[in-house]
Order: sequence, then C-alpha cells, then structure tokens
Amino acid sequence: MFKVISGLKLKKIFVLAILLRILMMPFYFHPDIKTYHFQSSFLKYGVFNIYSYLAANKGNLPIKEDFVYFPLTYLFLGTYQILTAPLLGSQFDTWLIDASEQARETIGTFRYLFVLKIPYLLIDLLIPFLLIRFFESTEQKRKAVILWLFNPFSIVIIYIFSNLDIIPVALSLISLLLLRSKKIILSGIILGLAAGFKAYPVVFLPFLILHTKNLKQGIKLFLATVITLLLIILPFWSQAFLNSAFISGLTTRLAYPSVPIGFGEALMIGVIAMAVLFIMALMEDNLSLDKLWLSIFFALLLLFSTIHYHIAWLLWIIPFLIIFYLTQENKVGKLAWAWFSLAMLIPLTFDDKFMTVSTLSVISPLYNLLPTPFLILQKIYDPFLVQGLIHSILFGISIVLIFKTFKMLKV
Amino acid sequence: MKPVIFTVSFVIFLTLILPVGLTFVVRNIPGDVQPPLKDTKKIYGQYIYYQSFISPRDNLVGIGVSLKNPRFVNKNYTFFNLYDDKDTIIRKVDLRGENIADGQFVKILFEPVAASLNKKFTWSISSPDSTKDDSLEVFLTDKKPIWSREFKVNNEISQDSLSYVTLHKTNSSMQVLRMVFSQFFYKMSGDVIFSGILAVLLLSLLVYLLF
Repeated sequence: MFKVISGLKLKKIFVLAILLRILMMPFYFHPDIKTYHFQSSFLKYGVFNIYSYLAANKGNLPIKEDFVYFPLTYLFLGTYQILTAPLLGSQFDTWLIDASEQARETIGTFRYLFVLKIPYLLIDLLIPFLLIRFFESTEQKRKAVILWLFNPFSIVIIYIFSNLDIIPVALSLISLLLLRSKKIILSGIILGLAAGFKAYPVVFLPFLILHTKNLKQGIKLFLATVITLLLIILPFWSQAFLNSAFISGLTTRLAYPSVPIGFGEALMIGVIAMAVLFIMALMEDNLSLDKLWLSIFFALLLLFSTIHYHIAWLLWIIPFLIIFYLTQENKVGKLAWAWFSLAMLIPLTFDDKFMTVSTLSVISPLYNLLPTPFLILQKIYDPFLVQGLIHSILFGISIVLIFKTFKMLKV
Repeated sequence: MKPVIFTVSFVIFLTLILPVGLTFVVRNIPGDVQPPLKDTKKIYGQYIYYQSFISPRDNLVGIGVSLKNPRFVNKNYTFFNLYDDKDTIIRKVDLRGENIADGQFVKILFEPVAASLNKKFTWSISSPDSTKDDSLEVFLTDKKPIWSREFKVNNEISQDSLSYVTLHKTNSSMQVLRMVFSQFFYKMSGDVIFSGILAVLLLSLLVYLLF
C-alpha cells in the first residue's frame, strides 16, 4: 500500500488526510454510534441472538430501539468492543447504558468516540486502494485517491454521522473488482458478506448477474451471494430478526413512495425506476464488466431520488460518483456532484437536531439550544415542501444523467 | 489541488471556526443539563401540572422541556404560566401543538426575570381543550436535580418530577464562549492519557507534513 502511495507521489497527501480525520473523530457525535454500540455490547455478556434478546428485554433496557442491522454488524462491533476494552476503559459500559443527555458530559466521551471510529478510519483509508483499480492511467489514479480522501461529503458522513456503511461499501467494491477479475464465486461470497452487515448490497446483485458472461456464471454468482447471506442470517432467524432487520430500513422505504391504482394496489415509484434501469441494461447488446459500476451508479441515483433516505446511506454512491466524474465529460461529471450536494442538503433540513447543531453537543450541551435549519426554514416556508422540491430536482437530474450517459455510450 | 485546499478549509471550519462561531448565536444558557427522560404525563382536560424550582442563575428567561406529540396530533392551545414565590402569575406563554414535533426539546421563552438567582418559582402547564387522544405529553424523570422542587398534579403533591431545564439570558457572547471552552477543557483535562495521545498524534503528523 505504501508502495502504491509513494508511486503516485501522494505520501504527504495521505498523511494530511489522516490528520484531518483524526481532528474530527473525537469531537462530533451522532446518537446512532451509541445506540448500536450499546446493542453490540451484549456480545461480551454471551448474548448471541441480539434480535430475540432485545425483543424479550426491551422493557428493562435504557435504549429501547431495535437492532436494525444484519448479524455481521453485531458480531463485528461486539468483537471490536471486546478487543479494545483496555483502550475504552472501565467506565465505557456505564456511558453506553446512560441514555440521558448527561452521558455526553461524561469524561471519556472523546476517547470513546475516537476509539469507536478507528475501524471506520482504517476502512476509509483502504477505499482509495480499491478505487485506483478501476483506472488505467496514473493521472486518473492520483485524481481518484485525492477525490476520495479530500471530498468533504465522505468525511462528514463517516466521522460526524459515524455510520458503519463504510464496511459494506468497501466489501461491495472488492466484490466488483473480483467479478472483473472473473473470480465469480469469491465475488459472490464477498457481496454476501457485505449484505451480512447491511442489506443494501443485495440491490447490486441483479446488475452483477446481468454483467456476467453467461447464465451459468450468473447462477454461480447468485448462489454464492445467497448462500453466504443465508449462512450469516439463519442462526439469527426469528420473528424478532424479521421485525427489526427486514421490516425496517430500505426494504419498506423502497415500497413507500407509491401511486395508488385502486383495490389496494399501488405503483411503487422506486421499483419502477429500478425495473426500467435493469431492463434498459438487459437490452444493451454489448454489456461489459467494465461498465458494471455504471449500472450500479445509476441504480443508486434512482434509489436515492425516489426514497426517503438516511444521510449515511449516501456513502454507498460516492465511490461510483468518483469513477463517473473521472470517466465522463466534464459537464456531466459536475452535474453528478451537484446532484450529490443537493442529496446531502435534504437530510440536513430534517426536523432532527442531530442532523446539524447537536452533533457538536459533546463539546458543549449549549449547542442543543440552537435552532435547527428545519426550525429556521419553518419561519420562512414549509420545510417539507422544500425537501420535496429538492427531492424532485434530484429525480430530474438523475434522469438527465442517465439519458445523457446512455446517449454518449451509443455515440 | 483544488479539492485538497477546499476540504482542508472545510475541516478547519468544522472543527475550529464553526464551534466558536455558533456560540455567538446562543442567546440563552441552561441552568443545568436536562435530567434523563422517563415516562410521560398527558396534558389534557382538567389536568394542570405544577413544577416548582429554585432558579440556579439570574435572568430567568424560559423553561426547556421535551414534549411528545406523535404525528403532530395536538392542534390545541397549551397554556404555560410562571408563578413567583407568592403564587402570583408573572409570565404567560401560549403554545400550539401543530408546530411541536414528537420528542422535540421546546424552549418556552418569556421576558427575562432579572434577579432570579436562588428564588423559588413554579411553572404550570395545561391544555383544557385537548383530549386524552390528542394531547401533548411532558416527560418525567427519575433523577430529580437538587434545584427542582415539588411537582403537583392539580393540587395533589406527586412523588414524580418533570424533566426540564431552566433557561437564562446571557450577559454576553463571551460568557457563552467561556462556558463552551470550560466544558470542552473539563473533558479534555479529565482524560489526560487520551488528550496526550491525541496531541502527540496530531503534532507528529503535522511535523511530518511541515518538514
């Protein structure tokens, strides 16, 4: 890795990227990191099926939320807590259990946030090494590394909102690279592992299958992914697992934006958009593995344009956005970044103080008293209308980006 | 190099400029940290909740309280009164539920009471037009702070206590900045090992970059 960085003459740039990240890690807080680490802390007490355990003990727990992630998240974070126990110290569990605002006033909060974000830092720094494999020229490789390490969006998503999506993002990229190298089964296993953390990489599977050479390879890839995922989730299979990990999140949000057509039926906008994209790709005569990332990029563009999303989910698209920007004509690439900037803006206008001002509340609780952008906007205009307006523009830009790119590919 | 310069400036803004800049927007400071939330009491019909307290600071300007209002169900007026130690109403505020999101920390602000330090006050909250099904709910706590006094439901003293904080007008932005810095350094100095490691880490990376 150091050889690659030296070869690209990016040693100092890489160190600067680490410095910026370390500066952010202890001082920004989002409650999600405390919630899922509280839930994962039960692994060290011997709890295996966290879904059933939380369902049975909800009444007695200070944080009553379901564990909405897939099992590998629980096992990974739980194991990480066990391994880093000496760094976290003896008061860490007391901090996790305290669901009040006073927990953030505890001495040790900065240390906990720093230590808990170390795995994200390591994986974040691994991504550029994966990204450069999508490019041939040294110049493009250099640009890809710089764009990943020095785009403010990924820094905000990873170190302020501290979501663990960076793990499935890295695994999905590895899976794509393995597929390009014709390692079909390994690619499927890695995609299955990515989905073992969070379900979303399953969305990529139809496009991955479509880009395989023949039906036999497609079936191999499908089976490798599904069997891996089943092996991960079967030991946890229960009503509690279905209610927490399946029914919440992406699966329901994909079906939510819909147009009723009577008798209880509805047209699901997100599913229509994905189906159109899939069929368009299916009709293409010369689909190559080199363009697989493009199908996934478009799928994600449409997905975020048609659903109410969590800000952390936007991380899924950034690697593909960078590849798109560096391989398409300048105007279209800039439009894609404009799309992303607007997409980041929507969650910041939610009626949730932890989307903005309260992320600083570990420095001082005074920041909790500041008005959120939602409340400020409310004095001028209806914030929900503003969100809808921006979302509609996102959808419009997505359509333009897809058709422009398809047109250019034809030429 | 444009993305590098932009992102370095952005991170410096987020870690240094923004936390300092935002302190100049803070007009009111809390008397304490809000106690942990427990169950709720519905505010409706004939119920009036009275919560007494000793003001921990001067310039009492409001009460901060978390309210439940699932799906913005409450559309009626909720009445807030502040009483002095002779049970005379000294401030009144009317709230509308349609602007209160579920679980929102609501700042009920009024004209400042200048010499409020160590004086006893009582605040009440009621909503006679609301019903049990469309009421706002106020949170209780099981960790009553020392400055909080008795809690009454109508005229009956209850063992419960509401979860709330007093809010006080600041004398100057510098006072807020000093508070933020003291809270930050309290946490940093309380964990010397971590602060030391972080400082060494940041300094060594910086030295590598500069030389």
